[in-house]
Amino acid sequence: MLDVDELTVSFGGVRAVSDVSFSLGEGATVGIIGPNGAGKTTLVNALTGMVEASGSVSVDGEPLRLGRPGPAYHAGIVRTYQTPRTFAGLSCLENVIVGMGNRARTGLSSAWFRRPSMLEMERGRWARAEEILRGVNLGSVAETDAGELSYGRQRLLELGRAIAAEPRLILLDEPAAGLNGPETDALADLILDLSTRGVGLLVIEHKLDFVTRVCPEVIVLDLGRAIAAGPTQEVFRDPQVMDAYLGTSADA
Amino acid sequence: MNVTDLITPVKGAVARPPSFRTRRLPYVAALLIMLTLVPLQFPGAYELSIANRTITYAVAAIGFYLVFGLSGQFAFSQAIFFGLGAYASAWSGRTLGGFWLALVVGVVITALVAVVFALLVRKADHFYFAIATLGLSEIGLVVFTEWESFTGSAGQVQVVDDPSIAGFVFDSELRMFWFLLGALALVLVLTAWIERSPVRRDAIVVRDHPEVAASFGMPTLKVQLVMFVLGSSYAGAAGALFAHDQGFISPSSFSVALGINIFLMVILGGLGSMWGAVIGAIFVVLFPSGCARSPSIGSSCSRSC
Repeated sequence: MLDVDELTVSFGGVRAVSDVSFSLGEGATVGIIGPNGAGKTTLVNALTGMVEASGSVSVDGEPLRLGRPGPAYHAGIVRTYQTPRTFAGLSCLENVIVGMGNRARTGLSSAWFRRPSMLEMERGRWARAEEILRGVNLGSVAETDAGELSYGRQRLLELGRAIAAEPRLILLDEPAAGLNGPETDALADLILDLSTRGVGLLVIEHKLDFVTRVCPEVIVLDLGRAIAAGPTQEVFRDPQVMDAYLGTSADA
Repeated sequence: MNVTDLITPVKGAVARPPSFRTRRLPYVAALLIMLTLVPLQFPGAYELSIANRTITYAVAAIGFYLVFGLSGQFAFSQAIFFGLGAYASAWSGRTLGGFWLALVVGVVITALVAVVFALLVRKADHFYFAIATLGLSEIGLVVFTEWESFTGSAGQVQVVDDPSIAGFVFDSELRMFWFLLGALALVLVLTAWIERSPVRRDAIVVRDHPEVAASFGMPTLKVQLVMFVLGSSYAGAAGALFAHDQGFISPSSFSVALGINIFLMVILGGLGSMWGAVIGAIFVVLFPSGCARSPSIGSSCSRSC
């Protein structure tokens, strides 16, 4: 479904992501691990068009125009953020509605001259948003402002916002950070559920037990390069990976 | 693939965003009823002229609430659009005649200039945008003073047309008060409808995290442009009302000081809703006037207020 070929992002002379290539099948969940500064978030930025990038990315064989956020969204690629970027002054419902693609009756003329049909569309959005919030275990805070939620729950809210876009692929940037034990379990279940429904997932995560649990395959980034890729257990046994991730084991 | 399948719907109370739960029109009605007491309490022409001026500034401040409060755009241009609405309607009154046409011309010309300006400076954010609007204000003042075929000699213009509805002419301070109260009612209802619509949500989303908005396919430039032009058009309408209420305009009424005063109105009154703009406008206009008339502090304050 997703094919990434020699994707490169340069900031001045620094290649934050360097010739990264990989493919992702329908509904596949792939983990991306690597030490801080390995280029994981930059890779997500590149795939969602938030930074200039070279190389090629295609979705179902259709080439994706890089460097702009619009095409990525319309190709069905959405993301969450490492530090949650929710809309603090808006309710959770409205935060989820932001992800929805159907913008019918959202304009000024509808607000003034077509209020009944505007309100009808809105009621549909509220109901849908509430369903999605229940799905990410936030049903009880649907009307609460996002700014009042803990960091961990704001991450779930971002996942709900991403689900609202009916995406083909969700890029999760450290989704488990800030979650407690039961919340992490619920997130893992949610990711597995999304995957069985054909949504592709790219999961950046530092918690290796979480990665082992939800990602059958991983890609290891170090200094912008993909240094290993494959089934999770095999990759974790690779000494080169352990060097990159945990520091050198030369004296072991 | 259908992501809605994920979730089993639960029967029960339907959640709705608080901004849609809040009723605003009853408060609009309550405010208007309270304001109808003003002529009973203060029948004098001087007091009514202050009330009328307050209403025109309130309309401009409500527009600025849309630009700055909801959309977060740091604009000092509200005063110059207020002036543009005033001069454009005065020009229309001189050449084409009639109050209603003058009002429409004032609003339309203001909106067109706001569109062109916003497109020209679309890359400028925050402080750069603020500087650009300051520049526009200064240029506008020069134009008002120098372009005499449009604005009259050195920008000094008499505005003679009084508003009229079905033959009833609003030709005294008191009658003008009732007319302006009607205009304020319309503006409050239109704004209440915006606050209770997706327009508010989109404006806040683009204000708080434009990059997130863009990554969900939202037309961020369009959202900002609409809010800027809309709020500026309120200023244009307010300026047209101001010109016809005052009967005489000159460039000094539309300086950057007024732009800062409009900022003050919205910030003092509160950025969270349109009521802040109304309360702020009342405070910023009445406080100096009240000072000047107060027997205890009036003599020392009247010069500076």
